[in-house]
Amino acid sequence: MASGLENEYVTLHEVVKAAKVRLTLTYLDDMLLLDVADDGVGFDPAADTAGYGLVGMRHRLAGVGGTLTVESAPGYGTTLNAAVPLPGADR
Amino acid sequence: MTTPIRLLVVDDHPIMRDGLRGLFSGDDEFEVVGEAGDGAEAVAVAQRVEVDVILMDLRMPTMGGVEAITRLRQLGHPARVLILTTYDTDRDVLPAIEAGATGYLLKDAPRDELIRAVRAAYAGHSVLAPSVASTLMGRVGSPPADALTPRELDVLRLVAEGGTNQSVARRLLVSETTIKTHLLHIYTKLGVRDRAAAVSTAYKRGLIS
Repeated sequence: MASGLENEYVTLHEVVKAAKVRLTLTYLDDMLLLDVADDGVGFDPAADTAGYGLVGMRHRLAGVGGTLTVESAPGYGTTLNAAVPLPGADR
Repeated sequence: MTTPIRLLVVDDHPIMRDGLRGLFSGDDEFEVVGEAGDGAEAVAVAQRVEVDVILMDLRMPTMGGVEAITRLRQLGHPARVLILTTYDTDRDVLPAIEAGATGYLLKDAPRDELIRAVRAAYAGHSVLAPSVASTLMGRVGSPPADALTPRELDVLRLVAEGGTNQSVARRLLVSETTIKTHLLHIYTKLGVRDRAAAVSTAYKRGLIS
């Protein structure tokens, strides 16, 4: 998750002009969730996102069986959710 | 005539105490040996006079019934405690039974039933109002009540206030994905399928108020 975070950090400063960022780590018995919520300009997640580094983050997360969800809308900031299953939690 | 069953009447409402005293004083089988207006007073009186059965209200100022039962048990007091209250929610019933109440009746019980219950409690038998019995049965029959985490309770409270996933997510500054995940865990723990049932179950169990 660490290199994904670096990407997000650069993005926050240079692209979306976020003033505040809230990181929330949620431990559940079967998975780990990381939310990164900023109050930046937001964007339309359905549009082309190649320039935002999300593809790379998603790819790295997929390497550990995780997923990346992007929630955003112009004017509403952006929240990224990275979900990683914990070992031994297979159902 | 055998020795009467000695009763201690505990209720914060004087009229209720008078009513109970009147009910039992007309019967040689019983003797009201004391009254108390709250749990602390009940513990004090029970240590001073010999009591067989305590008719105990639950919600009282200063010290409620559950705490009083706990104190009496800690003191090794032998009296049986029969709860007599207006409330039959999980939040009231379970702690009282766990604390060691012998019986649990509601204040709308007919007088015959109350008298029978006191006799039964004196003999060490459990007496439960029908609604209280079903509360307990429902508890036993339901899936293991995994405790909700503080965060899950936060989510549930906001949902109970009518929040959508989106509004709850914005309020807690997390993603909707995380809110949905919390909700799924909440549903599993409460044994329900949707948010409406989760909210009503949480109210019923006293998890949120």
